[in-house]
Amino acid sequence: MSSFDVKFRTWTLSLVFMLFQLLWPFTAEAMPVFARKYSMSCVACHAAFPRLNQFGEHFAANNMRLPNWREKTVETGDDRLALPASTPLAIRAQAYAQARRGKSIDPVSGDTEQSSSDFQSPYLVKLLSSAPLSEHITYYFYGIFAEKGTNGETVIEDAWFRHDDVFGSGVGMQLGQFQISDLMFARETRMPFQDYMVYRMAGITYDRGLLFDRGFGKIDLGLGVVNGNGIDENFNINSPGYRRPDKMFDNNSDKSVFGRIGTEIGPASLGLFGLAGEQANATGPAGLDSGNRDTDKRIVGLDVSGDVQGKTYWYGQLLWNSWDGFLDKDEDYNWWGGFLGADYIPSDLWAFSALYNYADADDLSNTDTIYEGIDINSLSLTASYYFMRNVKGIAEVNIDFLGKDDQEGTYYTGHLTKEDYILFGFDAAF
Amino acid sequence: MPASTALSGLLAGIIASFHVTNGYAEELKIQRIRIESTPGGAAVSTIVGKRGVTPLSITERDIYPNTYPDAKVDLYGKVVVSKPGCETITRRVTLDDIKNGLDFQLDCTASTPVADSKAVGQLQAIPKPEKTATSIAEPLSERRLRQLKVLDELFEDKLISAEEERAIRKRIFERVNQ
Repeated sequence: MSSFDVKFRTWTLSLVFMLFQLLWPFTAEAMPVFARKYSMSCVACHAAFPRLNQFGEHFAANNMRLPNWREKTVETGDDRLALPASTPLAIRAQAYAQARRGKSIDPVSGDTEQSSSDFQSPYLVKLLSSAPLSEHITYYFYGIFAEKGTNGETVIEDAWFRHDDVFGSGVGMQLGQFQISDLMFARETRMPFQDYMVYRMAGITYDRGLLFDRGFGKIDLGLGVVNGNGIDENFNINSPGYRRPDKMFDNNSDKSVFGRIGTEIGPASLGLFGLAGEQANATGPAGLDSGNRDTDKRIVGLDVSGDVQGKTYWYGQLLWNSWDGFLDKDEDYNWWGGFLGADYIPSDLWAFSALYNYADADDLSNTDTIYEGIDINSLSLTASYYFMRNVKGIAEVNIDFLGKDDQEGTYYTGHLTKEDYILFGFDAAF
Repeated sequence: MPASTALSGLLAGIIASFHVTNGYAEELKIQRIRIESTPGGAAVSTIVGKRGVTPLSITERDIYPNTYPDAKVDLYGKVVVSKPGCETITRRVTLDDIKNGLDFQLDCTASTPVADSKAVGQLQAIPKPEKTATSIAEPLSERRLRQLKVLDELFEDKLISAEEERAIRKRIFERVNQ
């Protein structure tokens, strides 16, 4: 046997062993990380996976730990070491088959690709991890493999450390990558396949930054600052000299600041959100390119939510956006949008959801840019059937109430095709 | 046949099959937890209130309700077992408890409440009960018979392995003989 064969076999065996190590906790217990850690059922935190119940919200706000978290660590005899007793990993996987009317249209050339049906399997595979590391510090991250069918890349979305009592002040501080919109409604815990579209359109999903939070009796306050340019970019720091290792994620000194103040009024939770920051202007054909001008971006939001006896959860969001000088330097562009939804969970087997998305491009209409496409007016109806607590089949239909726009101007922008779809598939976490 | 029509048909078929399998799934839907105590007749309560007296079965949602008064959050995921003249035991329920059931041995020599005791409900760590008027209300032979009957049920229902069954059976005899 050649030395190459020996090395190959050694590496293969090592790899198999590592995979076995990695997969063992899942095959043995088949529960997500927190349920596994605390030996609790999924129903402790979820009214119906992934919708959090009251205790699930409490758990998340409590730095994602129970008071007995230390019991679930390795007994090392070192009080200053709290290693999780098992590798805190979990997986979420989704696979769908879909029939839809939407097309892929190149905004510049108008070239069109269309498929009336699509097997979106896998839709995504996520690897998640979280654990308390000290009395006050918890980490959380997940990476997505094959996001929405895009093979060949792995995306880290949430990835942060959180200290829940900075200098004994009762202030929580989260540093890392997170969604600004998580201050209102977490997209990951929504029941429908359809997204909370206005969050994506307003650009308040993933970013890197700091988030502080504190409760004052019935008032919850969250204040944050982020780079303001998402999570896709980074830049070499090359001015100190040749082949320096560091990079930076932000491309300017401006930061976006945001905050939310929330309270409960009767059975409803109410929140007021605000953001002030900068974004690069849009330029080029159909507004597809980022320009060199930093333009002001301001958002005001109102969110409201509640539940009826833990069986029906309802929620609503409105966002008013002001993008000054975003296209033309001297023009202000205002638009608004929101969503309204409800989840009805009549039993441990079934859940039914409705999600209405609305946005009006308003000042961005008729600009011959892709931002005309902010328009949306759709209703998604979803039925979820739970084979197990952590495995569900879903069926969803999306009804697009908008008419189809005729192509006008130079570019192929706006609502040129309808967005109706029907899908079914599986969603599992283990 | 257009693909969208085919997919719609398939979707309808899947939903229909969910209904067909409903009978099987109904059996899965509610996890019940068996709770016993020695002496019997102890009151069992959870975050949603009083559930009855031992022996009884409660559901997961009795322990993990979707909503509850904020002031009661400390009781979330726990059962409280109490009986006049005996200690009150509060225990956080684990998945093993849901699978194997809970068997509380109440100490009726003192009525001091025990907060969140890990030991209680785990047979290997059950404190030896004193022979007080209350604890001997049920003769030892009857108690042993009852425990063995429950053990047989658990084993027949494949909720415990043969090895676990032997170990618990051994402990039941050891405890009674002490």
